[in-house]
Amino acid sequence: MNTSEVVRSVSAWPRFLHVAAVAVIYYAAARLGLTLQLPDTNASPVWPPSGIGFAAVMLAGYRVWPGIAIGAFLANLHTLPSTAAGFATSCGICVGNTLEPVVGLFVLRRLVSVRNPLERARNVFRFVAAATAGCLIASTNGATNLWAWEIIPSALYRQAWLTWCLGDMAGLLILAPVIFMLFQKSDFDWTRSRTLEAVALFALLAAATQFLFGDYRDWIDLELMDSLAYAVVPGLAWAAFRFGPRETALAAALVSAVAIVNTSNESGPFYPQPARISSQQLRPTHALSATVASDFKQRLRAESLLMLQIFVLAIAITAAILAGAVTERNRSEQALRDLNATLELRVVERTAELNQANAALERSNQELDDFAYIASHDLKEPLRGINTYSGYLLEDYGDKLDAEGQSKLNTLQRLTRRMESLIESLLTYSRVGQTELAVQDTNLSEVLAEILDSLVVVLQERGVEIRIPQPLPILYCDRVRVGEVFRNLITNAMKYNESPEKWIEIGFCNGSAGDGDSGGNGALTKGSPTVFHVRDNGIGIREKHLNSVFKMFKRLNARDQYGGGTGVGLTIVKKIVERHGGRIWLESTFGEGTTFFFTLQQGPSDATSS
Amino acid sequence: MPLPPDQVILLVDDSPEDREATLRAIKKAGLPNLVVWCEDGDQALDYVYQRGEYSNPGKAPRPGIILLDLNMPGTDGREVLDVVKNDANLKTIPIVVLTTSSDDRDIDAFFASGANSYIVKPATVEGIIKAVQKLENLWSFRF
Repeated sequence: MNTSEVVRSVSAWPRFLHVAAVAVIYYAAARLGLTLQLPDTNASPVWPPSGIGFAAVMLAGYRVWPGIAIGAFLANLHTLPSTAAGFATSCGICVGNTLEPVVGLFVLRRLVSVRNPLERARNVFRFVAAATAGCLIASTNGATNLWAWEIIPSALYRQAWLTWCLGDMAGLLILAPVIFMLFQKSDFDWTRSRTLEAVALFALLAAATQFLFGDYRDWIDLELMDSLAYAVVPGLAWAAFRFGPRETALAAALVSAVAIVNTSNESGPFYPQPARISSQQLRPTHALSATVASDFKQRLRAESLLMLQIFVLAIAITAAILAGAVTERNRSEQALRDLNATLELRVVERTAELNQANAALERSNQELDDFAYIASHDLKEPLRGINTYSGYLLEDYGDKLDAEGQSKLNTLQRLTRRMESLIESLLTYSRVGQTELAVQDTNLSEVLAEILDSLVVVLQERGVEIRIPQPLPILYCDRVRVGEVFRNLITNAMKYNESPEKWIEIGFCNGSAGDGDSGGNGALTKGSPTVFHVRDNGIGIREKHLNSVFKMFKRLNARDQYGGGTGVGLTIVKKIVERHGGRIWLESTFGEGTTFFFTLQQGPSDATSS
Repeated sequence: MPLPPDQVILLVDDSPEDREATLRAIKKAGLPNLVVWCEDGDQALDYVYQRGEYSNPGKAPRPGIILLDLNMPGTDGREVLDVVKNDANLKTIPIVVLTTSSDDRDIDAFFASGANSYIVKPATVEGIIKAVQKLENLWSFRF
């Protein structure tokens, strides 16, 4: 049966069983506490019932308070004189004993929102604060009752209050964590070696504490032993770092138990031996009367009680804080690891999704291109028929038609030719997307020279000056397609120009080192895109049209202005640039000129040639 | 040397209108040759191999030139081009591709697969004359 089943079965008990169980255990713990009284003090250094009570309300809630009240009443009745005053005192004290865990839990729930306060260092401090609040109420109530019913004199009020308070706190802080943690679900992985380690830890801790607190005066130097109580702390740290809050609380309880038992047996560093004290501190001159010696002994015992209580409190709190801090750290580490794992998984998933989407997009793009290609091919065939047959009509029957009829046939032919050129543009566009790029090291200066050669007549006709500030580089790209880009941009720059002195500038700058030194015909820095530009002093483009110049069949001017055209040139240019992994954009001032920029990446010529 | 007038011109094209245009251009160019029309690749291959409806050799004399459309249903022109140019007996027959595309890449591809010349559709008199002129040295070599 694992612990979570224990928790479930405990909370499934009917209320009266809870109450009865708490009453019995509380009473038994009180009787046990009384046996731990230090000699001559009438007070226990720890009061285990306070731990039982607090653990009970932490686990089962406020509703178990009657069990605490009954257990406390019976225990006090047993301790106090069987008189009316004793009975009344029992009643009074039992109110405080009941209030202690109830108020403590109330404060704890105000301070800590999680159910288990022992898994974070910050919450352990709050747990201590809540315990202190409860214990202050119980001790104040208890001492006041004892004094009011004249069981202790006024002179002892302060001492009774302090002993009560510290005893309750020690009992609470030692026992409540152990009991509470025993009922918590634990995911600790008890491997064989861990179990062995735990056994070794507890055995060592018990032996060491026994050695430090036991009576071994005959064997070892006493003065050294007196100041070694703190040596148990590393053992508690071991428990905290290697195990959890539960094991650490158990370890602290073990140390406390051994220390208390030994001290109540009049040994250990907190129980100064009168013989030693008289020999070391009271020498040389005082001659003590029997009464004075007895008083003195009592005071020493009260002090040793206080020291033991503070020791127990110190190790309980230290252990709990250490365990809380370590648990917190482990949790965060685990959370971080989980997060990392989830992140990695999510990255992988997202990448897969993205790849799928990309593949789908590529497929649909391909299908669209195929469609455009086939459709244009098939569309052209009947159109050709219309064109040729209207031609035959003109050729064979032209003389039988009047001028108007001939003009209409001519219009028909012109329209079919226009339709054909539109379809041809569509075809060209889809072919740019469809066919593989024939990439090779291309001397763009040569490409440009060829284009300008073919345009030389029309350029001269229009009086356009061509400016090339520096020779274009050699780039790994599709010679024909990139040539189309330049031809198209230059033709546009020439067509849409009405300046008296027309010019077109074709240049480039390297994306990373645009200082011009990298120009010439040498290879450019790899990886940085080269930005080309074709600049003119033409008619310019209004800003509102800048976005639509790349749209298919979009013309900004009337059909027959500026030499006509189908309006697909820039769409094709954009597609070519994009297929090279580049980007195209433009800057324009209406009436002053336009500059088209496009980038071409220095391609993987090494990768393919090697 | 022009195309010998007794040689058959084999015209392979699925489109009647395109065929009409081609026939008209041939006639206008003054070529007296007999034109045989096949409307797809299978029929064309039957003709050159004298199979099926062309099994009688007298009915299907070896063509002096093939005018071949590429985009046809079924066995298309590229396949016909491939078969003819890979056949030891037939590969000397000049093939003129009828194409709708004037794209350089397509033209290069035609020549790479063995075409001897091309005409951009619709065939015009000038197109026919130009294409046939290109082939003249082929015939002079063969005869």
